[in-house]
Formats: sequence, C-alpha cells, structure tokens
Amino acid sequence: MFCFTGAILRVVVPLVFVLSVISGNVAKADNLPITPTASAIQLNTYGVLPVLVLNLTQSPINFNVSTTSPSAYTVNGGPGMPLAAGLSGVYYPSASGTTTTFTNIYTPATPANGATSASLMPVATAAASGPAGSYTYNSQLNFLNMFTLFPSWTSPAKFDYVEYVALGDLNNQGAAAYQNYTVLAGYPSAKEDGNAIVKSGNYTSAKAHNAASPTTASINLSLMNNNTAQAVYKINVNSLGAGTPSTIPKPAKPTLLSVISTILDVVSDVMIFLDPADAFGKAVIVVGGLSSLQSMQAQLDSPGAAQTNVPPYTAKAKGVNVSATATFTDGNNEKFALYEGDVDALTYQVSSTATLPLIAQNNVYITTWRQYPPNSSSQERNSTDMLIVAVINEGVYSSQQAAQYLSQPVGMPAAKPTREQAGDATKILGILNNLAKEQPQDANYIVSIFGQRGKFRDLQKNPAELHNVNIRLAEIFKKYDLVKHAGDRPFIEQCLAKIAAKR
Amino acid sequence: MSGMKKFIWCLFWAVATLGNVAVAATQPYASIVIYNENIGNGKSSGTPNISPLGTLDIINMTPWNISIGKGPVDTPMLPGMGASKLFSFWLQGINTSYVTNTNNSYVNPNFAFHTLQIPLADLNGVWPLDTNLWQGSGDNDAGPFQGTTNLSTIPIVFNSNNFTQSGNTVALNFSVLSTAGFTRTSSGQTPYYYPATAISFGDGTNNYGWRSNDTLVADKATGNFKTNTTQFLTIQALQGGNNWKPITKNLVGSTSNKGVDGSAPGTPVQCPEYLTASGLVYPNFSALSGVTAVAGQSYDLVVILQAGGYVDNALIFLAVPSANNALLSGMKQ
Repeated sequence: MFCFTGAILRVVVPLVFVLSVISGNVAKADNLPITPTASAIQLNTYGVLPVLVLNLTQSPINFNVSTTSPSAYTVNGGPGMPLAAGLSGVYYPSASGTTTTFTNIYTPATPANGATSASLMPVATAAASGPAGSYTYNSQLNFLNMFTLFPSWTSPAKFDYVEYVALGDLNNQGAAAYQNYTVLAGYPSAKEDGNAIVKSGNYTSAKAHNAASPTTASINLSLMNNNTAQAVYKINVNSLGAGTPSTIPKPAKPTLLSVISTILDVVSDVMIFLDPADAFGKAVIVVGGLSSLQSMQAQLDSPGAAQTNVPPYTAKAKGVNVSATATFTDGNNEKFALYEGDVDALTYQVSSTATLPLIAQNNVYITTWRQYPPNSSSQERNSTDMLIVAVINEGVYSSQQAAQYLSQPVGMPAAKPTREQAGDATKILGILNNLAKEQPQDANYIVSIFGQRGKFRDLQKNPAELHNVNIRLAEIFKKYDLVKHAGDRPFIEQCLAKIAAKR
Repeated sequence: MSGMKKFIWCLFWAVATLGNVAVAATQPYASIVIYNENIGNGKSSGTPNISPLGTLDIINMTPWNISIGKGPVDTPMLPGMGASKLFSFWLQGINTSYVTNTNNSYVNPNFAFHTLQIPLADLNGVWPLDTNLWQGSGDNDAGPFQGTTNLSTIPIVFNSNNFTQSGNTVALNFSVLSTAGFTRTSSGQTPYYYPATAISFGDGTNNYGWRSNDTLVADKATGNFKTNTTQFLTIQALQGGNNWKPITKNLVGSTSNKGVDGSAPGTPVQCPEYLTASGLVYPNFSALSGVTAVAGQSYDLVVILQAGGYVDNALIFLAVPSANNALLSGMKQ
C-alpha cells in the first residue's frame, strides 16, 4: 500500500516551509493578558464535535473520554453508542461513563502504557544520544490525536410500536418500504387503517437520540511522569439541553489568533526540525492537522479579516459550551485557574505558591475554529466547530521564544524560524531543565520573560528593559555549571556571543 | 475455439455481464428519518421529540478528499438544503494542506475547511428539492400515495477533488426525501395512516427496516396531520458495490416480533436500539485509495447519518483503524 500520494508529497514540502516562514512572524494581540470575559467557549455545533488535541509538553499524556449520562450510550450494561471515534478507534463508555484509554494514533492496536506508548507522546523529550541532559523534538509527531466526539446524548426519546418490515429491492433513488413496492426510503409501505401496528400486536419499542437534558462529556488528559498520573486536565463539553438560549455573547477581544499563534510557535519549530522522510513516511495525517492550524492562522491574520469566530446562530436549544478543570496528585498544591480569554478561546494556567517542577508548569488552551471559508459572503457555507485543545509546557515554550530572541538580529523584527533556531530551542530546553533543578530562580526568571505569560512581548517595545534582560541572561549563562554539563559549553558560548551583540 | 463455442462463450459472458449490471442496480444503503416532529398516532403528544436545529453538519475527519455534488465546483445542487443555493464543493482530506485554485487565482473555497455547516430550508415545510415525485393514484394498495414528495440525489466521491470516479475512489449517492402527507384522490373514506420506516438498511437486495406508530404519516385528507413534514436521509453505494457494509452495531435492542403484511422473517428479529443513527463502512479503504493516515496502518471509511432531538443533523466521514473498528463488530454481512 502506498503511504501517500504524489499530491500529498507536493503539499508536505511547501507546508513545512510555509510553517517555518509564517509562524513566528504573525502579529499577536497586544496587551495580553486580558481579564477573561467568559468562563466557557461557545460552540455552534450540536450533537457531534470534531476534536484536535496536542501535547506540547515534556510529559506523556494518556487520555480517555467520559460522560455524565452513560445510560444514554450503553445498552443492557454493554456498549451501545460510541462516545468517540477516530484515528485511535471507536470508544464506548462503560456503565460508569468512562471509555478505555485512547491508543496512540501511530499504534492503534497497542494499549497505551503512559510511558513508551501513551495516548499522546510529549513534543520534546530527553535525547537518546548527545550530551547528557540534551533534548530533542519528537520526530514521530505522535503528540497529536484527532477524533469525533458525540457529547450530548441524554434521556432518549422513545419510538412506540416499532415494527420490523422486510424491504424489497432498492432502486438507486432510495429504499423500498415493502417488498411489493419499489418506492423510496421511508416511504410508507401500505395504507393502514387507524393504528394498524397496534392492532397487529407485533411491535416493540426503540429510542431516538436526544439531547434534551443537560450533560457533560469530558476529555480527561492525564499528565504522566514515571508512568504515574501527576495531574488530570479535564476538558468539559457541556451540553445545556433543551430550552431557550440566553443571548450569546460576542468575543470582547480577539484571542483566537493569539492562541493559535502560540500553539504554532512550538509546532513550527518541531516541523522545521523534522526530517522530511518522517513527514512523508509516518506523519501525513499529523502534518495535515497542523497545516489546518496554520491555515486558520493565515486566515485570521489576513488583511481585514475578522479575528473572531462567526457568532453562533440562534438556536432552539441552550447550546453547548466548553470549559476546563483540573485535579492534581503530585503533592505540589497546584491551582488551575482561568487566565485569559473569551467565548472563542480560553487559557488556563497551573500555578502554586511552591516552586513547581518545570514539567508541571503547563498551560491548557481550548479554542474552537468556526470561520466562513474565504470567498464566502453568507452563512450559506460555514465550517462546523472544531475543538482544539493544547497543553503547552512553559519550558518548551520559553525555550522556543528564547531561541527566537537570541537569533533575532539587533533592531530587526523577530527572526524567521530556521532549522538552526529550532535546534537552539532544544538545547535551551536542556539547559532550562538543568537550571530548574540546580538554579531554580534562574529558570524561573527565563520563564517569567519568555514563557506563555512572560513579559517578553511587552519588553520588546522598551530598549532599556531589554538591556536589563540581556544583562541578566548573560549572568545566568555565565553562572551555568559547565563543569557538570561540559557538553553544553560550545552552545553557552554561542549564546553569550549573541547576547553581547545585543548589548 | 470453434465459432459456435465462441458465440456461446460470448453469449454467456454478455449474460453474466448484464447480470452484474442488474445486480449493481441494488446497492447497499442506509437510511434514517431525520424529522418527525408532531407526527404521531393521534394519541401521543408528538413523541419522539425530534427537533433538529435546522442544520446539516458535514464533517470530514478522514485523510481523503471528498467531492460532494454533481460538480464541478460551484454548480448548483440540493436547492432545498441552504438558505440560498448550495453549490457543489469538495472537502479536503484532513491530511492535506494549502491548495490554491490556479484557474481563478483565489484560495480554494474549502481551503483548510474539513467541515461544512449548512442551514436547512424550513423544516416545517417540504424542501424544494430537485424532483417532485408522484406515486400512484392514492386509492388502492398498489398505488396508495399521491402528494407532494420531493427528492434530491447527489453523488459523494471519496478520494477525489474533481467529482470523478476512478480506480482508487468509491462513491455514495446521498439522497434527501421530503414529503408532507399523502393525498387520496377519493374522499369520504376512512382516514389512512402510512407507516414510514424510521430506519432501514441492507445490501440492496436483502433489506431491513423498522417503522413505528411515531412515523405514521397520515394521508393529507385526514386534516389534522396535513401539515406534518417527514424528511429522510439516505446513503447508497454508487461505486464500491457490496464492499460497503451497513453498520448494525446498534442492533442490540428489544426483540421485535414479525411485522404485518407477511414481511417478517420466520423468527423474531432484534430491533436497533436507536432509530436515528445509521451508516455504511467501506473496510480498508486506505488500501484501495492508496492514501492512509499513518504509514503501516489500514483505515476503514465510515459514513454515519445522524439525527436527534435538539441537535444538528449530521453526515460524518470518519477514518477508523481497521485494527480497532468496533463499528464493524456484529455487522450484518
């Protein structure tokens, strides 16, 4: 079997290039963070929901999905209707409402073990070779999954007096309803006097799918360390049931572009660092999923584009929204709080009064993509919601941003991502992980500047402040333990030279 | 080979070929009722409570490009499906990237859009579809129906962005049928109720359906029900024949006794648990198409029709690994 077509081949090469060129240069919304104006993102798609989930952390993530209405999915205590289906397979909730753990899309027949085979492998891992403590990006691209969620079923409606009927041959216009007639799907089989089915007595009952009652389906992302869950980030898809919807708020500020750009900051580095043979041979679907993100970013960033999703249409039901919660079991007393966002996109941050291990410093992003396709002037064509979930580690993100800054020519806009810069990011990640253990205050400083909630974007407008950053960075690199990490010496010297050029 | 033998062989071949053509006319299919609000047996309050929000979601979560419509792009189709006209389009496979329409130098309208959400026409009325069908005179069992019944059928070609079938594509016909009651020509008769199938599927020759008092469609002359509207969605193999398999995973409901009209089998049959979701599967389409999601993995093409109370109607295309495809377990072969 071919793994890809010529058309795909033609697409992947420019994609990697396009990702590398475009990402990193797209304008982000200024003056972030902003006070969240919503506690959940609002969907416009009811009953079915495509999902794209990315693990941009240093840790494996196992996940399952669950429902608070398992009886609507199970039949006689066993599998009935799927709660999710996609590249890992088909997943049915148990009687308690939870599915089995999703397999990795690269090994759909292999149960996830949370270590060497997790639902989502980490985007960056310790390198198998090279200097001790060095890191590398995931060349398999097995940190992504795509599936379709069926989140809304609750109490079913009931069909009464259901009767089996054998059907005759089917012409190409539809189904025959009775063997003597060649008619159309659903077309009545024969006239009946009154309640003929009742009279016959040959009937049973069946159900219709129904979302009349409130229910929640959750994507439960377990952050793993040494094969043990450290935290569970729950993405809650809340179906609000029948009734009249309240006025659906419009986004107060376009955070959608900012969130997608943040995700692409990391992804673009991974892609440019990727051996094309991997993309061609292994990662076609992943490349496509990531290309969708890039496409979204390009459209949002195009001149005159509305940087928000189209508003939901007026619904007869209350609708569906999505929010997130988390629980922690690593003993660090973390809190999980909404940091910024609106009805299009929300960012949650993990924080603690204690110093958190770098691998526990993660942000969770949830956003939905629902835009008119280009050249579409009416609601005639609209995309359904696609829920995008990303967990991004502060170490991974800070390293990418720091590498980009160091590669940035003095007085020039941010450098375009290059293979060299992507390589630098993985080296800085290794150093940052070492600092987090040996000089945590230095690691914290780097994260405070270049992290997802860092000051870097604002500092770029202030040369005096940037000068202070350069001084502090030089101090950190000079203080770095090169006796213990001798293999890092050449790169540290490069960094110091780049900083000196900026001062 | 003698001349006579050649003639007999050619005759045999021709008969066999024509026979295949004839068989091909009955293809695997799946069909559901998508709207039956307030259609009841006259005693209920209109259950089941099917209240679509007036939207059809078409979702492509596969690595295959999918052409929908008669083509080419932007030719009108399914006039009743949209608030205005709906045109032929194709959804990119989710593994594909930026595509530029070189002919018109603008971005492909479906660029980066693997889904489409279509507002439907007024669901309380018959959709203004392509074909108006008239069935029978309405006064006998052989031709009991006379009324407004509309139908549109469009092809869906998988692994194609130009609406063309080829050796590495498969295709379905997607049909929408809409009707509002059935008119009798004669008056003064006892009101008639016509039980429509809520769900049906089969291989095209051996087909199965379940009808209900809640899908009884009154004849138009009955009065109280004359404004009721019933809509159906059907997918049927257009290319791929009997390799398309109906999903019968939900055939785990209550046992049904035989039906009327002598249509029941000799033994009781299980009824689907739910009557509002059905679909077809093309096993290991990745092999035929030459396109897969992840190297070394085989994927089935799964097409699901779905309706339900307070949700969108949906036509969903999924790629599911053949190694982990629970949808096919229990499949009626």
